[in-house]
Amino acid sequence: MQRLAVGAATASLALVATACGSSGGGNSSGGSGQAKTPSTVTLGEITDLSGVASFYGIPENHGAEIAVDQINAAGGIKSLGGSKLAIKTFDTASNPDNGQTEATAAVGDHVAAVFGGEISDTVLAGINVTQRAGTPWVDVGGTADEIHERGYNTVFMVDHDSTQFASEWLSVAQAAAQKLGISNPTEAIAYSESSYGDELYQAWNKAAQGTGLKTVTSFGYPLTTTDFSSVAARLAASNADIILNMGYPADGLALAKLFATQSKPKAKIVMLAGSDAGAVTGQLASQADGALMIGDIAPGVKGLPASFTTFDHDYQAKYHSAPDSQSMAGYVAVRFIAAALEKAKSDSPSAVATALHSVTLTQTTGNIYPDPTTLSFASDGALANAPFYAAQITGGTGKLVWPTDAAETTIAAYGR
Amino acid sequence: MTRLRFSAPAWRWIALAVFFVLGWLVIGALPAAPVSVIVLALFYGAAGSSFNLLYGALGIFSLAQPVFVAVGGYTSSYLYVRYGISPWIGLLAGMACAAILAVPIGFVAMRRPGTVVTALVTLIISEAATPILSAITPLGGSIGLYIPVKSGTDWGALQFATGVPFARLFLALNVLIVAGLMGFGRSRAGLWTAAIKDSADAASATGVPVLRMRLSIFIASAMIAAVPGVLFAQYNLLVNADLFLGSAVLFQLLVVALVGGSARPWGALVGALVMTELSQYLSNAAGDRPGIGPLTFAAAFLVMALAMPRGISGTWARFVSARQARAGGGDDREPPDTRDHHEGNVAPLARGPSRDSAETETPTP
Amino acid sequence: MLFEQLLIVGIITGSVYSLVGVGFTLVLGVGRVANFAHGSFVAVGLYLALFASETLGLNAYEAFVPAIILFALIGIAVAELFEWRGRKVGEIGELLIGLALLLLIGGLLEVLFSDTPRTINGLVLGHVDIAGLTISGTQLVAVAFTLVTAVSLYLFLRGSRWGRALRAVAENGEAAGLYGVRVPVARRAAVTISIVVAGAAGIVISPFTVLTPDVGSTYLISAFAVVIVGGIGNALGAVLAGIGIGIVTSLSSGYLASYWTSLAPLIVILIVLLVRPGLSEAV
Repeated sequence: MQRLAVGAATASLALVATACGSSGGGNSSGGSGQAKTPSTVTLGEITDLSGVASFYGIPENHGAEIAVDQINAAGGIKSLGGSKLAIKTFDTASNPDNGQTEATAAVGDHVAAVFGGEISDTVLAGINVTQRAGTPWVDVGGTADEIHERGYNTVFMVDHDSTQFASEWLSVAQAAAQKLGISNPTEAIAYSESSYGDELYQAWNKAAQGTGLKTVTSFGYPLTTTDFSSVAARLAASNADIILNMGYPADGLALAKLFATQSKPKAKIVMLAGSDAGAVTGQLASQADGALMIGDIAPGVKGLPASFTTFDHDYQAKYHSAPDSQSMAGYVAVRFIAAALEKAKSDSPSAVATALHSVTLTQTTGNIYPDPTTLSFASDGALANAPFYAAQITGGTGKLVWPTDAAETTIAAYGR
Repeated sequence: MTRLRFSAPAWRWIALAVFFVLGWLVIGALPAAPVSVIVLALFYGAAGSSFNLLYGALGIFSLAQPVFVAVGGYTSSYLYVRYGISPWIGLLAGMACAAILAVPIGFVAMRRPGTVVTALVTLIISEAATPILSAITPLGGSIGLYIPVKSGTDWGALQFATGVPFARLFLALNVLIVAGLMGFGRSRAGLWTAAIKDSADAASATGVPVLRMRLSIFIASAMIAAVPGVLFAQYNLLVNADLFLGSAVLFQLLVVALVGGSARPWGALVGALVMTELSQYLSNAAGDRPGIGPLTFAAAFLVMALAMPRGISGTWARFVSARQARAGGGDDREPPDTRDHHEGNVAPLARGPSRDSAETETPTP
Repeated sequence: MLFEQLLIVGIITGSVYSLVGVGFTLVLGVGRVANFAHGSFVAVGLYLALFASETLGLNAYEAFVPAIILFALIGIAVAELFEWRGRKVGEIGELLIGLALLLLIGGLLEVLFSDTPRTINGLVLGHVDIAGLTISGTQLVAVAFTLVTAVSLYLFLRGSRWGRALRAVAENGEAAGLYGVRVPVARRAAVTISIVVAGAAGIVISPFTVLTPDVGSTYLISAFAVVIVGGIGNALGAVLAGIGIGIVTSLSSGYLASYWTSLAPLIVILIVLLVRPGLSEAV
């Protein structure tokens, strides 16, 4: 009998300890949805601050914090009596298994809204929770089309999805081919065998149907590839006019280096669609010259709104580094939520979710992009016009080449 | 014949039942956030138990368990998405598929005896699973499958409005597994397994069907691993290779199984509860400082690896044995079993030769 | 042209696998320790080279000797750790420590260096133009280093008195002990040497490798493959296996449809495993 008591007591202790230890991380200040004028409105940022995706998750967080700083300095949420914003982070550690756990914790902490996410699977898992709770989730970095095709009316995307991303890159490729006088261009594609890369590849193929683009070779490489020598060799040997890589930042970096040093391609157009110009030039400088990548907005770009200059200044002052595409997306996500809070005059998540559907950001109310000038969500939660910038590395720095009205330079051919 | 580690006097069954009932009630009373952590913990617990079955019973260090978890998840999801078949049936189908796949995989994995070789081979098999799954287009390629959402609670479709039913299902699963392992220990199969672990040659000589037993247990562990895969797929409403076969999942499974230890049937379950809680706590404590959560977790794990190398259940087992030795024994408690086959209670000198009498191959440097 | 190119890059990539694998086969076959963190020590070598380049202004070769000394010290400490746990609880203790070290080192590298993919530039050692490829001198040095290391280890284990003592311990520790070999010392030596080799590998491949904190687990898996094919404890086998796997991977990546890039080498490994006798050592 004594044994039974000991055994049962221990077991129940374990469960109770479990319950106590995991009370979702307490410390939620205000934001209960009941108070008329809460002093602080908490936003939950569910993103990857550790692991491979932290490469984007950390800039996302930094950009978001700048938005919070600016909004609070300007008096907070006026329609809520000047409530200040605060961000509580929930680290999913680049493991999609944690998506629902962190989402549940965020909802349990009564955040007014959730934003963030750099891995599509994590976001897809987590939105099941937030949708049921009626809490909006403004996705920042997950690109899966499914995110806004699930039929969830509380999900929004502040960055492009796979279809938009692939179409934009296709436009860049076509413009480049035209500029360089290549008629009937051929392409060689290498994509990462992951849900992200595979979906991009399929979206590209779909968009390219009927454009006359001929594929010389297309193949996937495993997600865990670290040595891209054979990938580069195959791409370079294909003699295609366009070389396209749909992959992760490290992939593009490796390929750029190999193209410069080891397997010099004859292609005139080299697009490393998953890599960031700033990050790559930081490592390779002019070795990466000629490659087209995701462009970073920096002072000097045409048509820059003043709001960007302020953002850039604040960001550099606080973090001593230049903002990248995910920093801007994180910033814009918070701006959207703030605007929704103003409109809804309430911090209840469902009110914010409803308001987000009709909020528009202009270049004086939070849109820091030169193009498009206004940002708003389509009915399915994706951005009606998603910002997209491509840059070409010239002389060791990335110069914007797309969209044309923000371009700093025209597209040149790859190769020395 | 020695009494088995897994054999269980009556009070243990009662304790298990009490734990189940308490757990069921506690889950219903908790807020959503701890419940979601429990779901994650119990998922790893079930998967870890399938690992511990192999390791504890047969000394086989199989890193292929995530493959069977994935098979479970994919089978039920595919049947539901393409044919509308209820995931409950899909669960049985998943177990069947896992059992079928376990035959060739088990054959290859257990071909060469020895812990390290099995680890090497099963890891390679695990690696092969991702491209194979991704290459099968009906399974959605790398993108995987999205399970259509049913709003609210739908028992037939195994979808629920909150995490509570999932947590309870996972709890029931874990309890069933522990009960099964406890029962196994007392059964004839369990006796045979212990004999095989002690000495395969001797067991074979006494008529124990060694190969059949090994394969049967491998198949059983595969079937056990498939079930959490089904439940987790339904919980997340998506399946793809990365969700089950990413290296993070494998490491978490190993951590859970090894911290819990294979000395007791409840080893992986306790290990999972402890380590998942710890991971969550450290992640919260890290705030928004990047990378600190996983780092502190790794440090905690190292400390445990040093302090409790036999895992929680192994340390508990030694504690119990030590107490019994001091108390002198007498009632129907399990006699102390100091002969841990895979533990080095022997002098370093004697560690050179083979640990399993079936291995006598020489190195060729 | 493509074929020759793929062959060449396969040999170079394969040498990296061999280099990582040769250390692993040593720790496994002679040290009798399954060091799950072996790949992580390669990663430490890579990041040490990064640190030396950025903060100290030393290139990989200049930093080589100090790094070796550092790794020897680390190796002795880690070997002691393995020995301590191994003595008390056997191989499960070692597996646990290996796994813990893998997670710990990965976590440390991430906190110290962040997850930004890095490259180390500036070391130019000339190049060779062959078959349309430009192979850098640093890559040739890496290949040479691999061969030298493997051959040295092989000769050491075969020819020298210490080497034979290590082999004796690997084959039959009890008997070796009876003959006066201090078994724990021998095993510690093997583990230390393997860690030094791993770290050195990281340094030597750093000029042409992209660094991320999780690169350690990728190298561990390659090490596994090399050891399975090459035989545990077999230094020359590791070289052949590594280069073989490198070539197979490169060719399948160059010619085959997706997914076969990873499947082809894995299938080859499994076939070798099933077919060849005498693979496993008594671990």
